[in-house]
Amino acid sequence: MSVESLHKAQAFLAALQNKDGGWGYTAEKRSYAEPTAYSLLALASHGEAAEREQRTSRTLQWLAQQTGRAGVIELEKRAQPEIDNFDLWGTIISYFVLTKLKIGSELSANYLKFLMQARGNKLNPQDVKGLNLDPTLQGWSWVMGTASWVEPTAYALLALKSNGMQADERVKMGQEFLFDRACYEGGWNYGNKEVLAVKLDPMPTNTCFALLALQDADRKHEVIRKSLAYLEDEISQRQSTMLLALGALCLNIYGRPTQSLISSLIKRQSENGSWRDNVHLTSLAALAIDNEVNQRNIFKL
Amino acid sequence: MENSRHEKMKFLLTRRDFVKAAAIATASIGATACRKLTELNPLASSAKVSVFHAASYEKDLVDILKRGLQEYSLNLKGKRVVLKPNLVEYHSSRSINTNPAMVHAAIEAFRSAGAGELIVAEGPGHQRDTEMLLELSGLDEVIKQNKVKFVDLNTDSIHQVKTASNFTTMGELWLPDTVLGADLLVSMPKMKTHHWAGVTLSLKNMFGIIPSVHYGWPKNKLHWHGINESIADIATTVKPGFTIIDGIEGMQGNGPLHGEKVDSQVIVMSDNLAAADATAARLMNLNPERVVHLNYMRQLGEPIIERRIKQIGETVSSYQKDFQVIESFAHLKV
Repeated sequence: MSVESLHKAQAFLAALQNKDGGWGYTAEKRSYAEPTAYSLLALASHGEAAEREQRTSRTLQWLAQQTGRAGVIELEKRAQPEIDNFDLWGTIISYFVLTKLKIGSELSANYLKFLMQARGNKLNPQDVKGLNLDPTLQGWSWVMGTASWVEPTAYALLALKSNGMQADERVKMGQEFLFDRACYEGGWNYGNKEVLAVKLDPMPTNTCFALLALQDADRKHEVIRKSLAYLEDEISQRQSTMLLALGALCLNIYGRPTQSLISSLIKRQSENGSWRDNVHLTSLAALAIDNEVNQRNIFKL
Repeated sequence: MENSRHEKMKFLLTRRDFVKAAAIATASIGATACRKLTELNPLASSAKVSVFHAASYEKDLVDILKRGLQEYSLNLKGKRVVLKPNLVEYHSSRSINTNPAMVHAAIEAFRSAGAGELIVAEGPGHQRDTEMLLELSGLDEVIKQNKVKFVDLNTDSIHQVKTASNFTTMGELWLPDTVLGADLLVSMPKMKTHHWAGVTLSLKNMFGIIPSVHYGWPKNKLHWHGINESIADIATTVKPGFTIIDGIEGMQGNGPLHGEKVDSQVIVMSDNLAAADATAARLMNLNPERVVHLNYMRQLGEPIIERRIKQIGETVSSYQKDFQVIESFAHLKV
């Protein structure tokens, strides 16, 4: 059942590659870095060698075309680099995927250079009153010139750690940032743990990403223990494609059973092999099922 | 009267063309100066706002919204109408999101008014997992039941548009094609207080059209440029043409997420968002003239003060509730 589901998902994704070589979030939408990167990963073993090679080559062409002179993926091709045109977090994910698949070395070298320069804004202590956070810690932001947030920081840590950069100062600070922003009862909100004296609730998918990024940290650490407990509890109560897929990949790394999550995930699959006709969700689901079938967890360091 | 109706229809019919033209990078629509909305919409200097009593989400909503729409000369025949509810986070015990029953009623009302295509669209600002929000909130069921399309504005195709005002220094905004291609964009907010903006109503609800695929979760760039300033720039650039405010259950205190429910029992409708928001603020017993982004709209000639708003339906005093605000917005209390 899992194998059939995986093949259907991969066929759906393969059919939705845009003419330019990238993928949009849904059919007939413009290509973006995130669905492109995850689709490429999910299709890494799909089809004959020639088909795979052609698909990869078209994707690399799209990435090359979207990469501007600053070495960052741009939303629109322009003659001059413009910060508002940069796709910072898409670049981080693309770096992770290219290095994982060991392709596009020139592009990934540019992306690495850029992501090492990029950092969330330093916060003014006056501006963060009532947030109970350490303003000196800088992770990564979604957009240049804004604050650091949990999810892009987790992407960057995963990408850098999977390339052996655990000892880098930026990685260490990014890790500290995630520990600082963890919610009091475990798990992560999208950014802060507290606003105006109100403790914020954790969110399950942000928690998955943070736990994936911290998979090499001390698993006895209170934050890790509480966060895993929160995630397991949350996933038993509310489900979605994204949570089931990311949850399965995350909990698998922490040695938890995930078969029931995969079963629930497969039950949500549409006849056409997709999850809600959505490329991003389908690629995440395919990666989770692929791990179940072939024991290939793409997030494992 | 006939002339003003003609002008209004002209405005509605040309909205899509106008916004599309603005998407062309070479077009210079108000790039250097802040244009008055009255130049774009000649009717903006005064407006009509309808207030309806609705005791609950259980009954009469379709009828109320149909009656409300009839008050406005919207030529909807064959038009693409995009309904933009407020869907932020889900907590079963809190009244955060636009109630799905309101969206259902709006779909029926716009359909019976002749709308050609109806799309429900939102780009949640905090949660990447839109599917979970749709399912938990009950909006997913309404969308399926009514066989309408849902577009996640966070991941739609986008184009860059010059801002029509410059309260921020952004100068340009990336906007989703679904919004740019709408004949009529309908803001459907929840009536709530907001810990950074004072109130969150039709205008603040437009934050949800800003695509996170570029701006992130949260859309933090807008915060760095100033929330009130961003609200004004988005409104003048996108020009939503209608609003239906869900004030049946509102939120007071530490909104938009952690406040308390208010049984406010009203629906506010208008083809002028600033006037609707000013009226909703009065229903919350807050002074709209002290809300910074409403004041920006006033500077552009939008009708915020009472004498420029033609109030129909229920009077404000009949359904006014004393919404509590956090200390930093105590000055909004009348």
